[in-house]
Amino acid sequence: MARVDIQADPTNLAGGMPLPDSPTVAVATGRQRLVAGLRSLGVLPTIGLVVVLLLVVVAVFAPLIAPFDATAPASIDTLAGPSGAHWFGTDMYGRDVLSRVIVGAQVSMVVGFAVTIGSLVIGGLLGLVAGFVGGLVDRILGQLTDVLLAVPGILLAIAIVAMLGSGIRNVCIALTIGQIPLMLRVVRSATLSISQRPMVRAARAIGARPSRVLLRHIAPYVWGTAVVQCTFTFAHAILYEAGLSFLGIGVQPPEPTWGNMVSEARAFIGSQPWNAIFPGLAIVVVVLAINLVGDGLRDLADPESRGRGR
Amino acid sequence: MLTGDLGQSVRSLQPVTSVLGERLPVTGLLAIGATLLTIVVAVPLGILAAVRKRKFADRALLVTSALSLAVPSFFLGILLLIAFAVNLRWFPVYGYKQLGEGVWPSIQGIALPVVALAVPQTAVVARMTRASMLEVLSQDYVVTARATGLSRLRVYYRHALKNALIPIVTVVGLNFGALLGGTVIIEQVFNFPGLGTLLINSVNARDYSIIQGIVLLFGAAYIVINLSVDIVYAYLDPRVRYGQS
Repeated sequence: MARVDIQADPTNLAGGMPLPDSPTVAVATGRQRLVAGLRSLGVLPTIGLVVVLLLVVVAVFAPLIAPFDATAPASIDTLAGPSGAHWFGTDMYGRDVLSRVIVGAQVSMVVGFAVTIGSLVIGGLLGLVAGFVGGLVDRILGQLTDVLLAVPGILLAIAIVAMLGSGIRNVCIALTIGQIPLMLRVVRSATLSISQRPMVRAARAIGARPSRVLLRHIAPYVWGTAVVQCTFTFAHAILYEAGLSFLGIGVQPPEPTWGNMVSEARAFIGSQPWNAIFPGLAIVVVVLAINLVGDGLRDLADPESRGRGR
Repeated sequence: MLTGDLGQSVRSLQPVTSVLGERLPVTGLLAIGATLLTIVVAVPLGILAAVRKRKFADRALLVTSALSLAVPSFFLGILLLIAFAVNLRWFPVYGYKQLGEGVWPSIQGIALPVVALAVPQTAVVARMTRASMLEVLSQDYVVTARATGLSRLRVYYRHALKNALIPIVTVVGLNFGALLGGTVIIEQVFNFPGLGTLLINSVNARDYSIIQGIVLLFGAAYIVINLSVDIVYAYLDPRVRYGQS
């Protein structure tokens, strides 16, 4: 567990974000390490971060940015290729594909953030407790995790959506349940390794309450690992949501999502492949960008893992 | 349930086990084909990247594996269809119809879905092979073997790979779950009537006993595969012994 020096090396600013100087403090907390981390992220992860932030802006202001109504026909010319009026072409009802891709970003971003926050809060807290308390609690949580992880992620999501019904809220719940065990494992093992440190034993020795030790002495050091895992959760959530929508059991048409757009376009790949290619590319770009950020953050947290497989 | 009776389909009233049994060969064929293709492609690629560390081949592998992990499998499948079935006409759009009509048509029919399934797996396995080989290649015995005049290929594939295999086998086993999940989507893209297609139809028909059966079957398959992986360890590394402590 390498810690990032909060006074970032000034020679390492090359690809970093132009951020104001952080105040000098004695102890590097999670947030300050993150700020310093952004400075030394490197070129590719910074590009990834910019892309993700741009997409968040696009998702928030989607109705203002989209040139046409995403759910109403914009042209009598159906299944048209890219043109000056419709950059990404039109679909089988004459709807503007660019507008639909822009509005579709909303679903991906909402699901991405909801699932990430949900699994961070639930999986993170359970992981902290499992790693810190150990014993029976740890064993029960471990077994539950194993059971959930034995079922392939997309299958678990399909089964839960089948029980709850489709729609964006149930998709978020299903994907969160699938991602919690992964977050739990990562946070638990980080908690275990930090609990062994002398500073934690010292804190307990001077009589700090367990809750204080956990939240003040352990959690800040687990934070970095959890943030890295969050990026992968985010990417997984977007991929799985697209998969569910593609299968027709996620967010239902006519509300556009990248997944159900590719699904609708599938019947027309012989005559109009662009309808499938643009929303698909949108998924690739977002997921790639998030993974770049995640790889950059992981390299910072653990320089030895550089270039290794996940 | 513990006796192997999964009940009846709510819709067709057939026993769940026989419905699943009908569909299992299609999914099994896809999963096994994709696993074989993954191993055949990923291991040499990973070794190449490890041997040519930080050179072009290594960088190329890193970039392509990052890219292929970002492509959703259904989109990859559709891209393959657009390129190789619609435009180049090398492969059929409805490959399933060609299965069992001779060797070549069958291979043609199953090629695109298997490739679509294997690509993300290949990325993961090749990365793991690279990392595992890098560790082994730096050991003294590899240097010694090269110094005695053995050819590069012999040293890499016979001497080094043997000791690098355990993490590779592990990651293949762990990713088998993702592969099974991938078949659900890929079967939809390529219209293969396997367990995945059955699952989606059952979800739409609210046939819960079938859904439950498929989830159980996939979970069991995953556990069996990973148990076999544990057993394979003992063959790969004589130091691993079970039953004694």
